Amino acid sequence: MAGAVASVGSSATSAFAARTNKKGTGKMTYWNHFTGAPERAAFAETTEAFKKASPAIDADIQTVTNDDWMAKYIASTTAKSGPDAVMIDVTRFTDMLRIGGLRDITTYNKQWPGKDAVAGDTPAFSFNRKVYGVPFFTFIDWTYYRKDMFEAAGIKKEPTTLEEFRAAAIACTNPSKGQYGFAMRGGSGGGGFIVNVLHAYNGSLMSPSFKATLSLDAAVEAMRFWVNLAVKDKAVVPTVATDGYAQIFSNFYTGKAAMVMHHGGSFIDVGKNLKYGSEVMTLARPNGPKGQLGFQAPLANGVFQHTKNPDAAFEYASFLGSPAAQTTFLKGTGYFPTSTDAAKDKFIADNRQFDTAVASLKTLPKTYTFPGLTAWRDLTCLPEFQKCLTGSQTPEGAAKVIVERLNTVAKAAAAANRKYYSDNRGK
Amino acid sequence: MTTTKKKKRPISYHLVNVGIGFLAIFAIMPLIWTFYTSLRTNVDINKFPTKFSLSNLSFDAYVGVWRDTNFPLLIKNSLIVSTLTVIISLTLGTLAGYALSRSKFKGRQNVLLIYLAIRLVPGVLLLIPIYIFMNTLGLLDSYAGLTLAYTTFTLPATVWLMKGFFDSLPPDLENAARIDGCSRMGAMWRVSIPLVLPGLAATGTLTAITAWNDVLFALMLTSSDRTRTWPVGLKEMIGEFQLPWEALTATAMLSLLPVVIGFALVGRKMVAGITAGSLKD
Amino acid sequence: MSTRTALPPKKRKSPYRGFHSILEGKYFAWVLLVPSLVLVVTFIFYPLYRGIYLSFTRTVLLEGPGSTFIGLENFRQMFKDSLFLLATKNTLIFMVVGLITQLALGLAAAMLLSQDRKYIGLIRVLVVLPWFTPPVVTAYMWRFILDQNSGVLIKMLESVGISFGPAGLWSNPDLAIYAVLFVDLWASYPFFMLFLLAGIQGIPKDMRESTSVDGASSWQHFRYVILPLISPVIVVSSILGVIHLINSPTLVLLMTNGGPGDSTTVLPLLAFQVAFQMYDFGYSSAISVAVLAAIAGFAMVYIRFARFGKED
Repeated sequence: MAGAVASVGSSATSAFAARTNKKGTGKMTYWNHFTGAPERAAFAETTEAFKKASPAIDADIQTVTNDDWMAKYIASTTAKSGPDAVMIDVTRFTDMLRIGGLRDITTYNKQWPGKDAVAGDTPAFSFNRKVYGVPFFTFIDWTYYRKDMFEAAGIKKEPTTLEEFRAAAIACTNPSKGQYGFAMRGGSGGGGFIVNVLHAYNGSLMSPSFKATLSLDAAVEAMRFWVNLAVKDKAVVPTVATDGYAQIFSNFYTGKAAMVMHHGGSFIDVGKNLKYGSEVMTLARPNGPKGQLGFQAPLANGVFQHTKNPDAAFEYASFLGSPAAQTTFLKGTGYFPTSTDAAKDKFIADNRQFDTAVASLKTLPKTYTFPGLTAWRDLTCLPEFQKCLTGSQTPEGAAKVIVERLNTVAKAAAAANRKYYSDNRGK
Repeated sequence: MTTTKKKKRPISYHLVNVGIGFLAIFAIMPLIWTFYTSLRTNVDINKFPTKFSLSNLSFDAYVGVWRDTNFPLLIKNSLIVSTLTVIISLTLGTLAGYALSRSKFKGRQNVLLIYLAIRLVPGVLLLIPIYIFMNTLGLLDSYAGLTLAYTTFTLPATVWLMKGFFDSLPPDLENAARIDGCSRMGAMWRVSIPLVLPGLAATGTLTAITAWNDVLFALMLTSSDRTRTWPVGLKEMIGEFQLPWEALTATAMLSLLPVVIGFALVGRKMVAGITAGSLKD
Repeated sequence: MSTRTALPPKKRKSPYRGFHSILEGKYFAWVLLVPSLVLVVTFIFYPLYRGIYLSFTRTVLLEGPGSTFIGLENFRQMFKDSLFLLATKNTLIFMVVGLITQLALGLAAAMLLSQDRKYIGLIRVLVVLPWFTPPVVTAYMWRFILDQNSGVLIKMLESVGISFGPAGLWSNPDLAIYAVLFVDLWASYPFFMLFLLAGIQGIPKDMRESTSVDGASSWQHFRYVILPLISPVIVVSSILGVIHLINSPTLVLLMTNGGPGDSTTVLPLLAFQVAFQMYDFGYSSAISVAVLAAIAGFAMVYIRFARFGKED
């Protein structure tokens, strides 16, 4: 056994982990929500490395789609039986914690030598001074733009503010040629952008003690800006209300849109379709009156509450937190590492496009995580925005609904929080 | 109607032909277009305006799907689960259908309704309890668990159809065998079953296709590629980031393939069988 | 199953004699029914019990584990919830329009396909194929055919002057639900066709054919001879169709997911969202129980009209 550990040269951190945390054995099932081919390939490569580093653990990597994630998570939590380790998307972290399927891994984390390299993102997966997740990598929001369309529109300077972004979008729009400035995501997954724009106009939306701090005036301004980009300026691809990830990128690749906003996760895919430097460029997200339009959203891996094999589960989660695993993902998918050691990789230094990410790391706010965030985002913000696009709602009316609903969510979160503290006192 | 019978057909005859042609086109054109799309390149598909051409067609997307995905494994899982479901559902359903056809006990209609009841419960109420149930039995992420769920959900149709087929047999045949000394089960096995074989084939195909097409239970009850079925794999592959159209359509066509083959083998019998069996309640 | 069963039952000396005598006796039916009934009842009982129980409680997972009994509060909340009312309206549209279109086309198709023609068997099989297409395939295939940018049907409609504007069919809150209904028509009308075809074929041949080719009397023949004879089948298939229309939101889920806005949110979809996105299992169960009660009402109608076992 000692020989097996010693034979792993590259992943020093996991070898360290073996000395401090109890070494795991046996079967270990892990749930992630990655469905893309590059992500799966990166997982296959990482799993091979993990099998070499921890030969006593039989790791089974399983995929559950985002759409079905919470249903399966809730079912396993209710049945007290499920995977051993789980992926944690930061926006769902508090939801997952409250539902009760995440195990407190504070002690494990303390004994893990690799913890300092990812310490920057660990607070996002901590609550009540307890740690629930080992940071994996972080999604840094940015913009892609097509050089040809910017040049044709005579745009010399990259837009840095929302107003400049709007001007650039309008300049690139030419409906008679079927060209638009911006491939806005107003369909599936579009709710995140509403949260972005609300933040850019308002600053923080929620205090740490779960008090909603979104003012109606700011919300109205934000909704007006985002809706009018489509409705008044008509600088947005007209199918916006139904455009999800696939559609906005298809519009971008086919030259129907000059700009598209996403995070670094699409870096490799974009490179397959357009050439960086000559055809496509990355660009930091524009600044609004009160903040930048976008977030950095880390992703972590945690241990399932009802696992019978927490040692192996943590060993795997911490392996994914190690520089070796993170570098594999960086190269395979473009996902930006949370490990400060992995961030020093030549791949980032050599790649000019990552300058945007490195710069944005310093300015972009960390994303929110509060109980009820995803429901508010997907079932209130997005439908209200879609109603504005189709003319059945006004930006002012939508803003009112969005603010009211956020207040309700905050009140429920605060009440649940008090209950949570009293329930967990002394534990 | 009397004189020009064969020579000149009435206009309504031709109108009927037009109607039949329309129905056939309506049914298969989308499928043919999807198949055609799967042979094109993504560049051609997205070209504006859409042009119809037969050049530049290839099976590359199929090769890609076969090579880059778990297609073969997932198809194998789907085949195993569907086959097991057919065997168990037909066995239980035939026995129940036979009993309901031959015995005239009181409350028979209520028993038939109990089978239907399982179809009435909305899916959202079923998901978590069935997960807990399967977990208790230790059948999560196994062929057995999925088969059990599918068997239950295909039983109503199997029981109803098989009852109809047994009802349509003349009772004298079995009675004759019974007088000759056959037990009840012997008479059923030797006399009735051979006569309802076409119906059995039809019901089996219906059951297989239901199991093959399900997404809801497969999503909930399986999580690894070892047991995951093909439609779930398809949904997962499309995922939120979706596939390019030609790959998407190729996977769609591939998952339709067993249905088409099943149809080619017993399609006519099945349609005839379902139409014959469904009404004899 | 070999030589023994051939012998008269009384002469046998089988260890299973008791079992065999039950099979020969009055209660043989129950012996055959028990395995499948146990399976169905087990599967139905617990979910149903749990669903009904939860519908009378406040069970919000974000508030921590456990449920509080709140009586009819969830049901009261429904009538104040504008989204529930909208979803009810959409569900009714989906049910009524879906039923009428599918039944009408199914009936017309059954009339056409009951005629004697060359290859009619083959054509019947082709027409039924959409019903057996996996719903996942149906949804993505039609999203592609009706896609604003590359959808062939959209382009064909545009070439004859029917346009949905630059935003497209799926962005139109008034039309999106009908687009889904159209796709559901393609996928589900063969079910009605099969049932009605069976009904028509059950009519004796000499009664089935109109004795006149004159249009008006053909219609009268259909109206006064065919229709009354197949009306029980129409009732039965309609109710099964309604169960399917209400209980299977797969197409709505995959094609619009309730959007744009809330314009295509139907009740089962709302129940899913309330449970798995808002984690409110009490309210979600209440919605499902209400839907279940409504469908059970239809099932009662089913019993009345279909009259199981009436033949004896």
